[in-house]
Amino acid sequence: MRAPINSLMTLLLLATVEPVGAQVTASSLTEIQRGRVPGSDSQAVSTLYEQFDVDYTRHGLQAGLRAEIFNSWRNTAPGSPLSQVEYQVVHVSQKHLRWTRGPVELVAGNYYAILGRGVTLRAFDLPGVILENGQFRRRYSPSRDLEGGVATWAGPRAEAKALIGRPVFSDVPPAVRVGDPLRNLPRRDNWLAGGEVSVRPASQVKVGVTAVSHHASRLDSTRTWSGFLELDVTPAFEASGLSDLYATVYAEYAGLNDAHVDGSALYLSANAGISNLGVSLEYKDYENFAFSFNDPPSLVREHSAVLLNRATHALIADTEQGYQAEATYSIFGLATLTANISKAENELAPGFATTFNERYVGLDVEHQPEVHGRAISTSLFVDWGKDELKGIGKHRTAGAGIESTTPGGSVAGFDLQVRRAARLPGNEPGFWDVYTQFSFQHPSGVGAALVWDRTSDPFEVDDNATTDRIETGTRTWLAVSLNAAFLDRYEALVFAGRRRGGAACTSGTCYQVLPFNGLEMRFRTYF
Amino acid sequence: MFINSPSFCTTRFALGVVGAGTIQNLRDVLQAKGNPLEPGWQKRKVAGMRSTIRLLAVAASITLIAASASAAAPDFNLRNLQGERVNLKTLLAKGPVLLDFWATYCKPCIKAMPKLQKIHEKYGKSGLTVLGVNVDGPRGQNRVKPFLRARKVNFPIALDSDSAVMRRLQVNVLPTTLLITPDGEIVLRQVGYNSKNADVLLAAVEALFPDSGANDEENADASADQ
Repeated sequence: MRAPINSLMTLLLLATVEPVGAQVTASSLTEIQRGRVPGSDSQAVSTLYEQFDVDYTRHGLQAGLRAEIFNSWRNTAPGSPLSQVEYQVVHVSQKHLRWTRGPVELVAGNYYAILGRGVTLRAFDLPGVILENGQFRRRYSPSRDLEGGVATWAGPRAEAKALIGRPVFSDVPPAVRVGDPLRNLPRRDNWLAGGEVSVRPASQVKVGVTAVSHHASRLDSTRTWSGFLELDVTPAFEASGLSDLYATVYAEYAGLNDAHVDGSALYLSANAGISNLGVSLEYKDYENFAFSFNDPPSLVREHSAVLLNRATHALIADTEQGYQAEATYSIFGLATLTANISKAENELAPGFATTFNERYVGLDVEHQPEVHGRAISTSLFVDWGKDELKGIGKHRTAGAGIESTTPGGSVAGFDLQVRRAARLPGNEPGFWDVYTQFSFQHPSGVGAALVWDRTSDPFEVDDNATTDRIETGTRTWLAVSLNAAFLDRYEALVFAGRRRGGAACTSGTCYQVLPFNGLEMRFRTYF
Repeated sequence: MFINSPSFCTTRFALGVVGAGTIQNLRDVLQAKGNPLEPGWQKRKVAGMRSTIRLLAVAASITLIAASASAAAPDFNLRNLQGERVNLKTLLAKGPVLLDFWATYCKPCIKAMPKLQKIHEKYGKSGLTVLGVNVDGPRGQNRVKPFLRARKVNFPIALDSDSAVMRRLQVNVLPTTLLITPDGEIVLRQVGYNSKNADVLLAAVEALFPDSGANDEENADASADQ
């Protein structure tokens, strides 16, 4: 508790001593829940989560922190009118001091960083994401940052980065106390040091190396390294008179050495296009390359459709090989056709491999001319494939959406997604997933949505405690959400009903969301 | 207007801390564990009071810090699609900057692109920099260039692969658009996209360029697409 107060007092001192020319930016996110997590709570639980980010900037120097507050209450004695505080914490989860001058940047404290394309290291934020850990029942921000220091120099033809820090084990919420006597469960019990150097011998060529040394204990260390090449072929096309053609390629190879295993990672990518057509190609081959501090490209499409994202494949960098190809074609600027294929193979044990593959075709259309003064946009997609890791032998998904905007700016939308999946032979029979959403948004910033989610999946249970039984009926999740944004500073969101759990993705990273029944209010403020 | 003041927001924050934490804490100390004859009662009570005072101190500190808040953009360095360094301070030296945080999987972001392209074409020569900040991360980075070229989007794009700049500018939702004046002040923050947002954004940009934005014919063109 003393550390958060000291940090806040320091910032307060900075803000009051020299306010002229200084800048303070801050934002606050409050989330209040009243309800229960099916399978975990037999009765309603109330929680309050508050996240407060504040940064103070003056002449290239920036100091900032993130404070997180979490409270939960539950009736521990049945029938008791008193709510008992179950958990209560005020925690400064991040604090940093950053100095920037021209091409040089120094950061001490908590920071984010990426080396190459994230094969050897990627520490990143998940803005706006609040997760609840099912084991410890704490709500928190699952950012994967480093705590230490980083120095970066970015010149016109060369770049260098050196860093040292403790990666966070983001599956564990902050300030969890266990044992007897109670003590904080460590979230940063190992450290790493590393860096990247890259040069541009010519404007269209970039070559570089990265290295990371990770120490889990005094005796146990892992060393990873990579070399990469980035090449922009477009100038060669232009010199040949093909000015409409462009292409870039990227290749990164990484290795791992420690006392127990050797590992390697190969990532290749290329993109090219001409006129209205764009193509992206990627290949991966990862072996023993899964750490808590890296995040190699997964080569699986991140969708905007809920059912597709919920059924996405999470990268297993210990053993994964595959590819992804995507083509985008714009039709007269009014419609966009997207086609994507991806494949991932995981050899989980000698002689036992699973395959994930996905085919996706989507069409987005902006209708012209307008219909009765309304701007209409529609989207359609079909998606099919298999996911043997989850026991899905075959799945087909289709979706359609329509959105109508009145001349006054009101937007009404309808979204329908249907998925049919069949399990592998020997497992349970197939099932249907249906997701629909009606939404309305008024130009004043107020909106509402009705979500109806339904499945007949026998393995999707209402209550985790009943996993030993197969629930053969269908399950439905119905919810209403209201949103409002006002004065450029405030956003409010109210959710009431039942929310289905499962995978969700933000900025390329997927995580598990727990199911929830009840009322949830989220309020965000920008200062 | 009181509701628009930082004090209002921080009061709510402080109430959240004090109301949810401290009062509950006091209740527990005074009521739920209210038997002075129980062993350790006094120790628990003192610990509870101490916790209460600490919570109050944290809430008061944050309130005071935020009361001096102004909407200002901190500097950052990123790389664009060509690998060149993009520095906010350098861009602001040339004129206002319109930052748009987006991702390829974000449908409202895609809808906003043509409007931003029009603003870029119209005000770019007058000194406005429209900078798209892509937050796809390594998972979608290779698709960004084909995605943009196929849609004829040609304003500059920077890559925020670890969401560090997104965090530094307090951006939590996609798309978020920030209009920043040359002195670093964020004069407009738009979260999400709809046609009214587009009108408000265009009006805010026009206000910064009264001469070039006053051309009625061009305004009509831009509005016609909305």
